[in-house]
Amino acid sequence: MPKLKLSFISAFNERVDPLMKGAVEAEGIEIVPTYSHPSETFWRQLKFQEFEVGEMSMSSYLIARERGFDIIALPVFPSRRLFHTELSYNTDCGITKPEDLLGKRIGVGEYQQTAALWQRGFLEHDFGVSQYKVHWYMERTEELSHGGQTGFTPPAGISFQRIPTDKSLASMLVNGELDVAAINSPWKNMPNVIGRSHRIPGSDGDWSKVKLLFTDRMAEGKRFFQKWGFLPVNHTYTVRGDIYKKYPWVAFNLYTGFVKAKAYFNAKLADSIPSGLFFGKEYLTMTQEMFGNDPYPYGVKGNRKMLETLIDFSHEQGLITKKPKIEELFAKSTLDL
Amino acid sequence: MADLTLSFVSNFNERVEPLMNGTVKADGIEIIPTYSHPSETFWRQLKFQEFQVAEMSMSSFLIARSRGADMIALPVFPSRRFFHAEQSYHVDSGIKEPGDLNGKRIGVGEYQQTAALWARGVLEHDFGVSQFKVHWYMERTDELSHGGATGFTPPPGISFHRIPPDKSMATMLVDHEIDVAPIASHLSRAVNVIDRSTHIRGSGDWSKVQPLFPDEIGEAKRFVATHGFVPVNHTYIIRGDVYREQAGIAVKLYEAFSAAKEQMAKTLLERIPEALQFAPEYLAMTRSILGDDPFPYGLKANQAMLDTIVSYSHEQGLTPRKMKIEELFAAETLDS
Repeated sequence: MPKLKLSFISAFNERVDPLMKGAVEAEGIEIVPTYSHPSETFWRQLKFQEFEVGEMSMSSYLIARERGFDIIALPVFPSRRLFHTELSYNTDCGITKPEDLLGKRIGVGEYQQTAALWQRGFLEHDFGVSQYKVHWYMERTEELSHGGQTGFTPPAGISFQRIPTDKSLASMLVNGELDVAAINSPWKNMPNVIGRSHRIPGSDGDWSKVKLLFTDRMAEGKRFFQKWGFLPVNHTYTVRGDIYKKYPWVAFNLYTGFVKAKAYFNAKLADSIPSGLFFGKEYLTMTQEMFGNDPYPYGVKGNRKMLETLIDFSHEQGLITKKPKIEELFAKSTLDL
Repeated sequence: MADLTLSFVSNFNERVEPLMNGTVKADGIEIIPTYSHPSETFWRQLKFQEFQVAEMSMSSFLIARSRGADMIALPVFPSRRFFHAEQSYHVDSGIKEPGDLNGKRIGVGEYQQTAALWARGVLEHDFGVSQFKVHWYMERTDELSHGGATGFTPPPGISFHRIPPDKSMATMLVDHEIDVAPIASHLSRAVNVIDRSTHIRGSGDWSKVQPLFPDEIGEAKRFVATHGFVPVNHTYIIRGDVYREQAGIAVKLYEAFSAAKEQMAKTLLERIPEALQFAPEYLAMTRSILGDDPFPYGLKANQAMLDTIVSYSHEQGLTPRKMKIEELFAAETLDS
């Protein structure tokens, strides 16, 4: 039976991998997978629209849609982290807690990236750190940034600087040229052409001076989830407009493929925890007690609060000029899922 | 010179995997890997000696060596768990805590298996449950058991029964025909031809089956503080004829096992599923309880563990005398 072949780009994600490697299928579709670092993926997708289906930054997606990009998202959110708890600080800067960040220099990979959007939003709303009263330092160059493709200019009133090209978030943080930066993401060591912290790791600096801003990430995770009720999402998946118009059925079919892939992984989750961790089952239970049995809900309904918060933050941070309706952001056939 | 080719049987184990998939190579040795469930591996190896290098049950190895089996072990111990803490009990049994097990019916996959040896030893020494004052129910049949291959007879004074072939530990526990059984092991769902609990699961009320140690992490802390090690169930052996004919392979294999372990230890953090959300925190918790290397290799680092297992094996009547370290491990590794 013939199937529609679709090029598909994504980082490895345990909830998506069964779909990329073919353990589960989206009806009527044969996926041609490309595994790629998100920084590269989004830049390629926003600049060249090379792939028919692709992982996409939530924040850049909101911006791109406002500027008329012809792509449509599926309400699948397999990538979620507590981004604000990934911030580290240099102990020489005199801060001891998140509330102390006012007036400090904060490094971000990219100003408009979703992780930075959530960090700014929660620092402001939960810890009283106004985004206008800190100094922002961005690592990516204009040419190699997502913002370069969506027409980024620093929002009015923001203190914005670029990190010199011979330095990185890591090197500036360890040398005390920045006070705070998000250098603890799981991606930090993965080579890619966009970020510089893996190439300029600041390895001659004194890393004993670099500490996590949230010393107890689990306690903060618990507090956060009780207050907000969701785990922050950074990426979704989009279908290129020409494909969506020609084959409108692919949106729903892909969505159910993503749902199947997540279920496939979840069934194997406990067994996929390395035995070297010893207490994998106990740790999984601890995580589930904190975030429930499905911390990665798909569908618009199960994510309304998260999406509203994301849109609010994007708007109040000056990344988009008006708030889109959630219904405009996702393929029509998936809105009731 | 062409590499020496060795057949190699083992279960998937993350600390051995680089050796089996070829990312780590033993000097001058090419391994032909067979992945196999331990229950099948040990039965095949003890009965037919099919493989030149094999994963092996520590307990069955002690027994086999005491009976003169021609194989020699390497001091590598990549498989460790808190076996006694994997027991579950039926709530109608009146059991509230491990000390209540005296007089109760306890299921074991196989009486002589290492997990059962550790469970009996720890229950007896740490919780006062005499192995002679409980009733043992074994699941594996004589033909398909490791004991069948090493000449097992129930030790004198032990109340020993076999689980009928149409039942399993799982069905008997959930139907309360036994009071306790280790059905929470992570291998308990991997179907294999030896263990019936993997395919005869029972349709009873599983809410009545509860873990004997509801706080497994707490019990692990207590155990390690008391004993100083994490119990080992498997080691790796070289068949005697291969060991004698190929000078130096014990050291080469030992070094390769060590390199494989080291490689995987480095990537442990990134192999933890993202869905746990707190991988660095969980890894730090494990390390705070078990130290930076919970899987030490070599004889010196395993002295207490080996002394304990040799003693338990002897006092449980599985070996007629306490086996000596030099009878068990390749001579070239005795200083490891």
